[in-house]
Amino acid sequence: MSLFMRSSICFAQCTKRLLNNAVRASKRNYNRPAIRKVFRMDQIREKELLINKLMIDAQKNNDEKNIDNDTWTAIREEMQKEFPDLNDKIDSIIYDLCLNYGKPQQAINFYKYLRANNVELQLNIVGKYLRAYSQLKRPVTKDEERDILETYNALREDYPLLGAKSCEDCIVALCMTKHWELSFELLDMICEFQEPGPLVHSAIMTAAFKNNDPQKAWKLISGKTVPLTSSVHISYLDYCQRNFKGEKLINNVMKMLHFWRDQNLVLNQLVVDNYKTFFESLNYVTSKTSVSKNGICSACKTQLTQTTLSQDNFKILSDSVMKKLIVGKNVFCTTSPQELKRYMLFIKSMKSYDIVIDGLNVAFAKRKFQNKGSIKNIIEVVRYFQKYSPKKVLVVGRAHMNWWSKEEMESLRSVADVFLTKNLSADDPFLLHLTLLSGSNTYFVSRDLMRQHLHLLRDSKLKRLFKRWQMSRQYLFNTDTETKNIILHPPPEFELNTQEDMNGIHIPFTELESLILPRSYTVPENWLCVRKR
Amino acid sequence: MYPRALRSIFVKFTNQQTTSSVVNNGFSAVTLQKLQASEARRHFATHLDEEFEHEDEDELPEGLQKKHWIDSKAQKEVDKMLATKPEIAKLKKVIELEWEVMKQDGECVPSALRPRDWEEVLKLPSRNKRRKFFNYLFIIEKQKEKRQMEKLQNMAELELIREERAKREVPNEIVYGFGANFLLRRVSDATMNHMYNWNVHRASMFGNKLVYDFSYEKLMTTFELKSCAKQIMESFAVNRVHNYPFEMTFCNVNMNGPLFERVMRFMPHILDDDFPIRVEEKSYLDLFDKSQVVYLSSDAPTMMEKYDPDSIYIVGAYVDRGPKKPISMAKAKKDKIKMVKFPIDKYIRFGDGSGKDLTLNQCTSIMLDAQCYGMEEAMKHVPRRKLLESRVKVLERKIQKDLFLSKTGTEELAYDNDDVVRPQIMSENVYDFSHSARSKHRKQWNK
Repeated sequence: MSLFMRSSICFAQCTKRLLNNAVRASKRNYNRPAIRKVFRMDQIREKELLINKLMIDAQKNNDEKNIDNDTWTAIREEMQKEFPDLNDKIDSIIYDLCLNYGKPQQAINFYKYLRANNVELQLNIVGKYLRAYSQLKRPVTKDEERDILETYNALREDYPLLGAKSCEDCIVALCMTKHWELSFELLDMICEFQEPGPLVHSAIMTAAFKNNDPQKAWKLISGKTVPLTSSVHISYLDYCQRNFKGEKLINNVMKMLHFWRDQNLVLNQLVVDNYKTFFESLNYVTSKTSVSKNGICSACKTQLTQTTLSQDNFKILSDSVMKKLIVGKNVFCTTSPQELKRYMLFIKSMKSYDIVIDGLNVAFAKRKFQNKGSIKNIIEVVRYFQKYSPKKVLVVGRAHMNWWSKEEMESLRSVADVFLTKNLSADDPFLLHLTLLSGSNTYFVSRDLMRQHLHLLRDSKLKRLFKRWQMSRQYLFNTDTETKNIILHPPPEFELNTQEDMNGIHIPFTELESLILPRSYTVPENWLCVRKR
Repeated sequence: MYPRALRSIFVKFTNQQTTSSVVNNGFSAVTLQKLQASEARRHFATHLDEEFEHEDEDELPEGLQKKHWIDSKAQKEVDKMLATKPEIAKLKKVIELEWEVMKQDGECVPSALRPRDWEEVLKLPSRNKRRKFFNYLFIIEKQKEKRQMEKLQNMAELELIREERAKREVPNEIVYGFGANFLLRRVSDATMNHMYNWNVHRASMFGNKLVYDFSYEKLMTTFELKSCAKQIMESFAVNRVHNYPFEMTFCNVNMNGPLFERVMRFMPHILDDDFPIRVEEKSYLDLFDKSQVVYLSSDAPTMMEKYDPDSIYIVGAYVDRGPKKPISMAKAKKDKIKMVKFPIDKYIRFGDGSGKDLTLNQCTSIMLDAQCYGMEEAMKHVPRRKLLESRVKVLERKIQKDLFLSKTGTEELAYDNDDVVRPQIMSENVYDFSHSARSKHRKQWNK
């Protein structure tokens, strides 16, 4: 086995990525040196303890019987004997064990037992008690509501200021009750010094929708990109169904769809199923389908809309690329002042191009077969574009391309215009800027996804705009291993967002059950098609 | 005749000789020194607990004053922050609560926060970063505890050895061996220091120059500053041990800045006259001829074929974790200086996904070996784990683990050829300065 491996290094390099993913996916953790906690849950679970026995029995028989006070005392005494070093952390270990076995009800009971016996309660246990209510998977009763409010008030009396984690615990619990508006104060307390965790926004938004106050929810996430849980989207649908009827109902649901469109969200299975049943109840025809490369829905055979950016958007993008990517904090990192002056002159006299090619990226396209870059590859790509109709092509590269081969360079100049930066300058920012300046009908060719440049734009709104433009305007390519030809992949001709037209709606989604985040660079495979009868 | 720095060293040497030759009341000088040292240790140990209770700094012994100096400076900084910004006081309370909750949860946090930790924690932007910092402090605390334990164990062992010696049949018998009567005098750390420093002083007269550019201080975070200072210290250590060292020059130094303060922690005597480092606030353009100067940058277009003794090489004292930027190249471009990169691609095949940037001490040791043994020999200092071979070996091990373990469930198979995979020590010239290695030497000595 090892001999075979050593003989084929290339094979090993290829399998590396696959394997890394596989290792990450498997739950066995081999080389994890950092232990996050002083005690480890899995080690405690392996021991023969009374609490382990009780919990495993409860898991098997699926019963929710409460544990008596006497057994709790027995459990505590046993644990104190077992872990003499961790005597001050015993209560929190038992609490964690209950949650680890998936029994939040028992954890709540344990807290009540502690409170009844006048044990000194640590701050973290109060927080965990409050958080356990959100894991119950059922709405809280009136007694529990009162209990949550009382503990919260008592906590605030002792601690007028709270740490971020305790704040989040309180928010998650309060959002289960009628007094959810108290959580805004806590949110301000968190936001003063850091960004809140992923569940806070979702918890407050679902509470707002449940209590018929959607405006506060929309206000909360205006101008932000935050990962949201599926409960937010579902609770909004419930809110609409409760309060509106007829046309008003559809208009209000469309508000959510516009939100998805603006934030470039890709939804998960659970949310889409809910919306599907909703549309079906209103006598719409719905189906889960796929969309072809040309942008034709396979269910309703209609063409999806194209991405169109206005002139203002182009101006904003090109200005910010100039300001943040080319000039940046240090001009000498990407260019030099003299070169920048020359470039400004070039822009003034420039005509608009149809295609802009990342010269060095294409020249090194066949790196597997030839070590050196060759200009022939660029000419190959230029000819591909000029096959059927004459098109103006610009090639962006660096000055050292002149030394490779004079004849080939001349033949390239005869087919296309060439813009070369200095050897010590970056060429990608110039490529992006030139494409943006040429207008709305220009494509650019590069295998690079430009993620490091996207990161430098900083502003989340700008980033979204840039990504929308890039996904509709970038030709990617790869090389065929047999024929050694460059194969170009044109960008999708339709918008990859949620979109509506005269007859219906199309919504992209994934089959994974994860937090709902903006789309990455791949084209979504699954679509929900909704149309009128 | 000699420069001033050298003269002071001669004075030190002569002083030492006179003290060692004196014999008092039948005790040899060595035993006297030992006695004094043990007394000092006891004194030190009693003071350790009261470290923060002292109000007058002048009363403290010299070693403790330096320790105290870092914390007192940090405390002043924290007080200043608290006075100027009212929200910082709030933040401090919040962090205290956070730390308490984490402690109750059983997460890895230190047992107490010193003023110097507070200074850093208050500047951190997010909760996750604070947690990581606490984790780091926790690990250091545990390491210190472990070291203390080892020290006590060693002391106990030594005590046993001494008792055995005392039990000998003839009490006044002359014993020949380590720690008893021996032909050679024990070479102490101080004399070794003097020898190595002399080695560098000789280079300042006849050797070549290596310049460190300290101007990137503002671009680094505190964590990067810390590791940068450590790398500078390590490169000094590598340099002085080498047979043909450089004269090290630090230029563009901001004396009150955070980077130089960190360097001062490692090398407190750096501004002394006899310390073999030249520290300058001026730029390298003012110090040297512009045509002579060459900048070492990983983004430079040309390779360094051979070490050129006529030119003065500059290393940028810059550590960047995270997105890489060609900052040293930009600086050389701005100053219009020649720049050059190491011929790594010529001699070495890099593995997938390993960056081609090296640490400062690796750079120094490459330059040191380049001037006497040539470029190919110097390339041995590039860490082995970055090479393609070792990457493939690691991969093999991973595959074997995954294939065999999933079927049989035993761990023995995977560790069969463990010795093949373990990274080898680069060459014999490389010295191990780690704590474990030093303690090993010490144990051998005690036997």
